[in-house]
Parts: sequence; C-alpha cells; structure tokens
Amino acid sequence: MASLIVTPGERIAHAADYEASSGTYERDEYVYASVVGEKRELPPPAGGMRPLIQVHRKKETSAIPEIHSIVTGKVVRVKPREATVSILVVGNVPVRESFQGIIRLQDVRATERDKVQMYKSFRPGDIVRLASFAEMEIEGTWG
Amino acid sequence: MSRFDIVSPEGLRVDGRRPPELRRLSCRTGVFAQADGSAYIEQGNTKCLVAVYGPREPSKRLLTEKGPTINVEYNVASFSSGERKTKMRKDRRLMEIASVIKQTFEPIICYGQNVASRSEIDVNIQILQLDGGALHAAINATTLAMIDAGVPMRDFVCACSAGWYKDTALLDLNHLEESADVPTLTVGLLPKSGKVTLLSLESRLHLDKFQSVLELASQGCERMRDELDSTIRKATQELAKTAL
Amino acid sequence: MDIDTAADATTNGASHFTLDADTFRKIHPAEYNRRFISQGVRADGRPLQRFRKANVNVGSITTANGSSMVRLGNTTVICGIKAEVTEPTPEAPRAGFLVPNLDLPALCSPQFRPGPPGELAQTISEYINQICTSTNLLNLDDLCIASGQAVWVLHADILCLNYEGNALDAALAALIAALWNVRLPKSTYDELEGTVRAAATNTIPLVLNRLPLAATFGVFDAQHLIADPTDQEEPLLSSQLAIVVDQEDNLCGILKEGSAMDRERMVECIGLARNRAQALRRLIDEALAKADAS
Repeated sequence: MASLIVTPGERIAHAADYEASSGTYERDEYVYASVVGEKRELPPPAGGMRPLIQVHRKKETSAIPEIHSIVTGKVVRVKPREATVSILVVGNVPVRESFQGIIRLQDVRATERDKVQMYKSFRPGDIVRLASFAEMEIEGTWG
Repeated sequence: MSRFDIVSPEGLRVDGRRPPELRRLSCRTGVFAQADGSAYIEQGNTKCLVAVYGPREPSKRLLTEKGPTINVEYNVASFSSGERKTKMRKDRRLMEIASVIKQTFEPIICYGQNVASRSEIDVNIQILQLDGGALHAAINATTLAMIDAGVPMRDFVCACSAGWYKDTALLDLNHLEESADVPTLTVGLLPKSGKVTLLSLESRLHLDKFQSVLELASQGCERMRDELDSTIRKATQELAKTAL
Repeated sequence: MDIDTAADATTNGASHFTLDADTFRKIHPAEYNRRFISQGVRADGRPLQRFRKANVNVGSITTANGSSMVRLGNTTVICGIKAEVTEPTPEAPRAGFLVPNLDLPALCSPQFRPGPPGELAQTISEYINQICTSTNLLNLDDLCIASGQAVWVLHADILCLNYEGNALDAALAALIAALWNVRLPKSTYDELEGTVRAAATNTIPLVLNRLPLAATFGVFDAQHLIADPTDQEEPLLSSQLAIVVDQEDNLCGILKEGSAMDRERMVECIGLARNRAQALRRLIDEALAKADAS
C-alpha cells in the first residue's frame, strides 16, 4: 500500500472531523501537517471524542524529555536537598545531547519523606531511571 | 557604464539565461550525520550548507516565557568569493542577515508538540561559494534543514530574488548582476497562504517597477517551493525504502 | 531487548534493569566500546588498526585559487586557498607566506558551540603550521612577485563540515591536496604605480617540496592500539599519537598526548602511518588527475 506522504503546510483534514495530534497543527477549520511524513489516523482516545490524525515522521528526531516520559540518566551532583541528573535516554531513545534534571528531596519516595537523606540515596555516577514530572524537573521513582 | 550588457540585445543575460529563468538548482537533505537536520543547496555557483541542531537545552539559562529560541549563525567562508573575506567575529553585515533569517523562521515554528518551551534550536548557515543570491539560498536551505530535523513548521519558507534592468525584470540575480547596481529584491514567501514574510531591497527601485519585480520574485518562490517539496518527498521515500 | 522496570529497593550499585544496545552505549560508553575492542573489533565494525575509507576531490570551489574536500569516514573537511598580494618583511624580501587555519564550527558537531575557536581547532592549526614550516613544504621564495615590494600570501582556510573524529589527518590531507590544486595568475609589479598587475587567468601551479600526511592513533584502556579514532572513541582514549610521514618515507613529525606509551607501540604506529600516507597520496594524485582532465 502506497503511504501518503505529506509535507509541512499541507492541509490534511477538517478540524471538525479530527483532533490534531503529533506532527500537525490546527488553524481556522482545518488541520495541517507540520512535519514531513506519513498521514495516519488513530481511533479516538476516549469515547465521544474525535479520531486523531497525525503525521508520522520516519526519521528519528532527537529525543527530548516530556511530561510523563521515562528517562534514564546519570547522577552528576548530590546536594542536601536535591540531586542533579544528566538525562541520557528518553524511553528507549538516547538523546543527542544530555539534558539536566533535578530530583528533589520530597520526590524521592512516597513514605517517610522527612527521613530521606540525599547522600544515602544517590551518589555521583549512579544510573537512575525516573518518570518526568514537569518540563525540566524530574520526579524520582526510585525503587 | 559597465563593459558588458546585463541583458544583451538578443535578450540574453551574462550567463546565457533569459530574464525570467532561474539558475540551475540542486538540493539535498540529510547530508551530515552529526546535525539533527541538514541541507545543501547549489543555485548556479552559489553553494550553501545548513545544519540544524535541536530542540536542545539552552546553553544560557535564560528563562524566556515566549517559547523556544532560534539562534541563527550565518557564516561566509573566506574563500567563497573573489575577494577574500577576513572573518571578523562580530561582522555586522553577517549578524544582520542572521537576524533577518531568525525573524523569518521564528513565527513559523509550531510550539507545543515536540518542542519544549524552554528549548533552543540552533541554525548554522555556511556559505561555501558566493555568486549572488546568498540570502535566498540560505533561507531555502534552512527550510530544508528544519524539515529534515523534524522541527514542526506551519509552512515552507521559500525565497527568491529579482531585479530590474532597463524595462525588464530579472529573476535570481548572480553576483555580477547584483554588483552592477541592478536593484535586487529578495522575497520570502509562505506558499500555503501566499503571504510575504520577508522583503529585502538593495539599491533603489522605482515604485512603478516594484509590482513587476515583486511578482517575478514571487513566481520564483513558487518554483522554489516545488523543488524543495520534491526534494523532501524524495528523501522521505528513500528513507522508507531503506527501512523496509 | 526490552527495558525491564525493576522493583528492587537498593541504594546504589548494580542496575537491575536490562538496557538495549543504544541506551547502553549512551550510558556506559567506555564499557560499550570495551566489549568490542576486547574482541579485536571496534564499535563501527573496523578491525582495531584499520583507518576509515578516505575520499578526496579537488577544485570544487571555483572562487578559490585552489580547493579540496577530504572525507575520512564521515569526518568531512573542505580547504579553500586564496592568494593575496602583500608586502614581504624586510628580513626576507623575497619570501611569501603560507597561513593555514582550521575551523571547527558549531555546524560540524553538537560538541562545538558558536564563539571563538576552541582549543582543539587552535591546537591543530598550530601543529599544521609547524609542519609546513619545519618541512619546508613550499619554497616561500617561489611566492615572490617583486623582491622587497610584493609577495603572495596564501590563506589556506580549512573548514570542517562534519566532525566524527580525527580532524588532524583530514585537515592536513585537505591542505596538501588544495595546495597542489592552486593556480596563481602570472603577475608583474609596476614600479611606477606601486601596484601588481595580474593576468586574467590562473595558470601557475605551486611546487611542493614535501607531501606530509598524518596518521593518528589512540590507545584504549592503556593496552589496545586503535587507528583513526572516531568522535565516540576519542574521549575514552588514554593517549593519542599522530605521526606525519612524507613522500620519501621521512618522519616529519610526531605529536603525542596523554599517558605514557610503549616504544614498540610507537614503532608499530610508524609502520602503519607510512602505509596510510602512501594510500592517501595515491587518492590525492587521482583526484588531481581527474580535475586536470576535466
């Protein structure tokens, strides 16, 4: 089946029929492609919503951490109330250049938060895997 | 008075073209592996290379609320033209061009998806050989490199130059024509909406002639768009083939 | 291989999740490379002492007096040489100048940021300059137009377009190829006007006394010798060694940095460098012949 390749600026759907998803943008009453790739339709994420339309890029983009992504990194600095992590991998994809994230004392574990000691939990050089909490800030789920 | 005719009595330009002809064009994307996106354009004898890095973490920790910053570096190789260009770090002319290109692309980038708001996109433009039309070659190559890098954009930005000489509008001026005081208008167009996003004029152009020159340059932009679009599609199809 | 999410409460030490190859390479680069090198092969598949495939072409920049483009694997450099007229120094009234310079711009790799030239570019530029002087690469007197009044200065600007390790080998090869491609215009000095008049076409080639070419090696884990390191390997090396050899098998220069190296190792490198220089010279010859033919 020949895949339909669309380029940025190409109109791909009516906004009334589809929800603009990754690789697209909405303007006036239409959805347009914002990257080059294959046009794809996905079923609606929940009942009562419109199906999704997205443009799937074949070439890998440099991964960047987003909210709720799982990241893997190396601890570079430990301070009493926070540890700095150099993020190296987002999901399964290594980043081209590392990003920095912070693990805060209160995010280290869910119970007995006041008893957490940063130095006992992390050392520079440790490899950690975390769920990102907010852009550029990481909540550690260390367990 | 110049020694040669910009347009000969037979209607030919110094390089043998007719007034509304574009120079031979060749475009490629994904030329270098280190950059997130890259492109190389040859328009006549003008050779331009662009590498895009990003989105990446900002090198300076400035908290801009507006959105990702685009940084543009515009460099011209010292061996690129007849007279050697010594590279002065803060050459104002180069910075001016970089600034124009930055302002052209900033409003085109889609924020929100895949581009975190506190991230940076670095565009590095390198002119390897100059024969007129450097600004529009740089813009076209930047469009290709941005698309190659996966930076989401509302539309292509296509650019072309045109000028006026003795009752004729000329398309895509080369260095000889630019330096012979032919007024040169560089136009950047968003082909989807037909809106003009960049307008840059060197030298004086009579108001009466402006419309024709703008029209010709815009047509040039449309043709560039077709070229850029087919380059992108071909590259994507190649990628699909190797993936299978 | 899939990533396992661990559910063990340990404070540090052994990771309990398995990683796929790309992730592993990113997080433990030394270990990743070690697994290959200890088996006699490198991460890019080369045997330890193999140099990357080289590619040379000349004359593509028509605005320059001479130009070349050299690719070593994916490391790509372009050299453009522009000739200008200048006044000689009083101590050497017939001597012209050769000014080589390497630029590693932000364009060529994410590791270089915009700004003034970094240490690596400056070090390599300086070294190349030294090689040019110490080998008497060019007879600077050949660049004389009028003694005491006008000489040529050759600005050889080497620009890296894509950096994947080992800029020195590529830069020196590009310089040599471009110099050989240089054509100067026939010029005369007008005593009365104090100006130089040059012919419209460039026809005069340069005479190169020596063709020095470099071969760079690295030592990994203080034991394994690898040739032509990539940008991924460079930060993991305990020492690096560059050997410059000319067309008569003369040793023109050795540049060493990092921890101490065995004498036998160095002698081994010299042998390999000789072969590499020969192979590069052949490629340069072919490129020049192709340019002349067209």
